[in-house]
Amino acid sequence: MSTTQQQEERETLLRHIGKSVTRVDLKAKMTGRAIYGYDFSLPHMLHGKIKRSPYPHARILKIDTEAARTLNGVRAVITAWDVPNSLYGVMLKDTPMLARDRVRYVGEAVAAVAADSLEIAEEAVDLIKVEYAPLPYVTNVEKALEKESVVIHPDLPTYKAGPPFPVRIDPNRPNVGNHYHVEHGNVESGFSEADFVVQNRFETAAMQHMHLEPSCAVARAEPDGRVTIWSATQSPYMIRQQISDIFQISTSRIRVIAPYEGGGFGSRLEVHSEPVAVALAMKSRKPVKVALTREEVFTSTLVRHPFVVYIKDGVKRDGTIIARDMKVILNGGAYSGGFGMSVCRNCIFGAVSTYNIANFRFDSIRVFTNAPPGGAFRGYGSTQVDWAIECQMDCIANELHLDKIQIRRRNLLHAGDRNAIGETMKDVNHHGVVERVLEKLRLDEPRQDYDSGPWRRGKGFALTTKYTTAPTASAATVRVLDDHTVILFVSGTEIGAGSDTIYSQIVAEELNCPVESVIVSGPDTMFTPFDDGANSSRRTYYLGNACRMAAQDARQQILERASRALQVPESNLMVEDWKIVERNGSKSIKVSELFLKDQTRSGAFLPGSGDLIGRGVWHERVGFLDPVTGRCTTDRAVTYYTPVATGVEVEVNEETGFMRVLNIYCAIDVGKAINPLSVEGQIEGGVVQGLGGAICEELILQDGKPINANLADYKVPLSLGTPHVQAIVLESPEANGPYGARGVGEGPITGISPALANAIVDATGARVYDIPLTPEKILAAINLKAKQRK
Amino acid sequence: MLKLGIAIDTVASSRFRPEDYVFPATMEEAISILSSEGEKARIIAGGTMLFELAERKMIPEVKKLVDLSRIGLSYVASDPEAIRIGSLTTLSELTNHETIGQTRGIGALTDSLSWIRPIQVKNVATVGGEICSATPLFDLPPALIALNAKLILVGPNGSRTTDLDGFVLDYLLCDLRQGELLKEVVIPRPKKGSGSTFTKLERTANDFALLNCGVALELDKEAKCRSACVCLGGALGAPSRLSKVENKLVKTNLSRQDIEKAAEFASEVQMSQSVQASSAYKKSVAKIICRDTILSAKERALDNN
Ligand SMILES: Cc1cc2nc3c(=O)[nH]c(=O)nc-3n(C[C@H](O)[C@H](O)[C@H](O)COP(=O)(O)OP(=O)(O)OC[C@H]3O[C@@H](n4cnc5c(N)ncnc54)[C@H](O)[C@@H]3O)c2cc1C
Repeated sequence: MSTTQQQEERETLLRHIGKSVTRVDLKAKMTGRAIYGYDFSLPHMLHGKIKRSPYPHARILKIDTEAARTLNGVRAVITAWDVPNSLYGVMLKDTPMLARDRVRYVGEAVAAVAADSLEIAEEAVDLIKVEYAPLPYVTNVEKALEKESVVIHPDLPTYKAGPPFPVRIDPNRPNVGNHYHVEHGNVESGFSEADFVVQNRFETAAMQHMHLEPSCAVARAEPDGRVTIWSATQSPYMIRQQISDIFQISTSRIRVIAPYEGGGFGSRLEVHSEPVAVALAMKSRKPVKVALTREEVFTSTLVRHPFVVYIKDGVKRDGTIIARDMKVILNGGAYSGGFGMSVCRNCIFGAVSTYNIANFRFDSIRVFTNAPPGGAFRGYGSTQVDWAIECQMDCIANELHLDKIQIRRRNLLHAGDRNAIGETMKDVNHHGVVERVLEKLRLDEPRQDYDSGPWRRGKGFALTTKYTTAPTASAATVRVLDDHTVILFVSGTEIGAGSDTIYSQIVAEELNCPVESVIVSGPDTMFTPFDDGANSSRRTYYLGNACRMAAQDARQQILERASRALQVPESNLMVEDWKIVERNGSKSIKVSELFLKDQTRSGAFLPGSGDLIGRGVWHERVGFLDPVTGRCTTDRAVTYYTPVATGVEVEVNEETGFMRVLNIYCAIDVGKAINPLSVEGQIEGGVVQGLGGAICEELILQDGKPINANLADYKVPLSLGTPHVQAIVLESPEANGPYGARGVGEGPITGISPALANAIVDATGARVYDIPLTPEKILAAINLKAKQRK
Repeated sequence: MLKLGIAIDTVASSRFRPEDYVFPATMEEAISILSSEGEKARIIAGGTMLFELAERKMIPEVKKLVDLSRIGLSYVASDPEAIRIGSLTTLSELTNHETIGQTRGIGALTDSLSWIRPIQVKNVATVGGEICSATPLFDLPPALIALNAKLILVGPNGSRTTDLDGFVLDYLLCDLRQGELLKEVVIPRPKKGSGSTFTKLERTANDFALLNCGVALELDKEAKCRSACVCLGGALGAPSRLSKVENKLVKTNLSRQDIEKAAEFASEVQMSQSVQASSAYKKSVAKIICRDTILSAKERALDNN
């Protein structure tokens, strides 16, 4: 039998996997009855509000809370002096819950109030008087990199850091919090062999996650000292750990419950209002809700790190890139932003996983400034690095008059190749995704442009690769009940991506029962097992595997019980729709018969028929990158790589710089689409979010302050103006993935910006080097090009 | 100055919380409340702008909201001279009104209505609110100015009529006097041989204008330009007529060159920087949007001969 035949055979045997099963959360959400974090409330709950810094950098001289405390209806007022004097942060402990003696960005939390109503809390916050002595500030990342710069964290050398992310103190650059270096081959000799050198500088802007539901938490201090937190977080266990670190409470005494989450995109891996809610709840002895406004989400949560990327390539006449030297500078903002530290490392993976470059150097430097903190964001560093690299690939092709696709193919990494950090590459299906996008994009066809008028047509392409991080772990527990229901306990928040449905499909597949039999518990750290969170496109793979193993474990126990009850060997039994039947025989029993019966029913007692619980754990171990050489300690640094190709067709107006995006094609190899409709949804969503960053989204700072921290002035793409996105799904299986699946969440965001910039060049000859690609920048580039032509 | 975004320390945490909300039964009652309470009372129509302005503390503190919905100001009437629009008419009512659809020469108005996208907003936002918000980013005013619209204002001293052009004085400031309310917008019926167009440059498919432009032209029998009204929005604090452009158009044949030459003057206007664009960029595209709007208005005028 050929492998494709085998595969087809296997697929016909699958009952739920690969089917666009209706989402299990559909009814609750469509009828408005789903409870999100922002909806959540408790009886006698107070409302919290945070007082925030109006200065990008200032010393706090005095905080006068008297008027706020005496306002009728105010139940608690806290400043840094009322909470533990500790710094937190998942990777670098640098962030105070409330600023103590210094504020480092506009919007930083300084004090907080809990009151009977939100209105009273707001009024009280306005009554808090803070005296500041403004300090010089710096928001420009390259200025902050200088030795003479204003220093954001004078105490940086004393901060504690987690082992995988050591701080590298550099006396000559006091604001550098993290620095990774990769050195592979010999870059200098590579350049000396090159026929051409192509050198550019690219930039990205601060983009906000724009999850629809603003960050929110409700906290309750229990009478016995425990703490319960309701937070629509991407990572309940991470929140639990952070609260434990801040308040020095043992993790078992903290319970995090996650309602439905209205999106997170990386921001909500981090605590935002949780610590303040807990502190207010402890002080007031009542439940407290701290719900951020949209403005606060903009100014005071996280942004996607703005990058400055310097890239210099040595290229042979035939298009072989023989040397590449890259320096990326991350504007980290005022704090580590939790996962921000690892964005500085992980962006390396984006730079080493598509092309095979013999001599390669990469420096990635995360710099503190007085801007809003940079943190995890869908794409996690890859997007910014890919923006530069995929523009650069076109720059090389244009300069050498080579075919844009050819030059990419020529430099691709292949299975078995060692990449620049020493990983042995597995087969990443770059060729497949390129092929499928080209079928749509038809670069070979003659250009169809307008005969006259200002509009010009162009096509653009980008090839990117998204890693999934490791080491991480997920666990799942299933509990089979006597009414033919199975409860799945997982700590994976339904963030909107359809994960609850995917887990249900997997459990139902393994137990050979209807999907409707599965109930997915929401995350509750008191009951649901460990999970490393909704990040890095990891959950279908990690939690999917854990669910599969847990369901298989439960099935095995069902068979054991049935075997005892029927006196038939397990190997002769099979489970189908909650019935165990004998193969080639007549005996059968319902699963419901395999449980204990209450005293009003006469069922026989079956030994070993207590709770039926299946467990599954998936964990993957990889090597660590040496921060000095960039070498991985083993031959694998990530879980897997996912290839993505993006093609776009645009029209650009040469008089105004306006661009119309006509079509977007995005191909991604997901290994196996467990739920094809959800996969398409993820691709469309990722592409459109990427489109926002590419064409309009930017949090603008003026005098250190965000000036467009609202949805009138911060532009996001709207459904009305969004072009057709064609999702193209490839399925070459991932060896260890559940049914061959990889993740899909992040890949689609990575290629859209460079594809668009390349299309603008194709249409007009003009290149824009920084996103967002606003009409103003496009027009400036067109005018510059026209001048150069003269 | 055109910023809707304002620095965070000028935004207090507390929200807009008016103390009173009243429904006057007659125009007289409304005027008397407005006159006696001064700035503390404010008219609420659809409320779509008022709340934004109040929450961002861009208007003086308001204690009492005066709802005009019960005094019969929601109508579209027409007579041989003019179309009369009650100030409480919603943008949706206006869009769907057959008089508006059927009257020739007022294409600028129907254009501007269709450039305002969110249906939820249009269902409540009113013509009076579009005008009295006095923002340079809104779409109806430049279209109505091009159509030479007049306003009927009623106050403690009776009623007065004024041109919409010039009514908005500056950013968030219009010539609404103590105790006055806008009763009606009057659009003179365009003559035969006239045509009008409105266009807009916007960053997303549902956005306030970067720049917008309303143009009305009247042609004589020889298809020469008899009169021209060109209004640009988004440049400064108030939509403004471009008299230099207009003068250059009048008496020409409106050839492409004539129009291009005239539109050049649009880029001479002073422009403020906004969150979305620099003044230099706005200047460079002002002549383009002007040119294209004039070209389209001319086509429509030719069709209306
Ligand atoms: C999401 C969104 C998108 C929008 N997009 C666009 C767009 O694309 N183009 C566009 O042009 N506009 C747009 N708008 C603006 C919208 O059209 C205005 O908010 C609306 O016209 C204001 O009308 P209103 O009836 O709601 O006014 P209100 O908010 O009730 O009042 C606004 C101001 O006018 C005063 N006022 C109202 N009526 C009178 C009167 N009769 N006499 C005296 N003073 C009065 C009020 O006191 C207040 O100061 C948008 C608004 C929103 C919320």
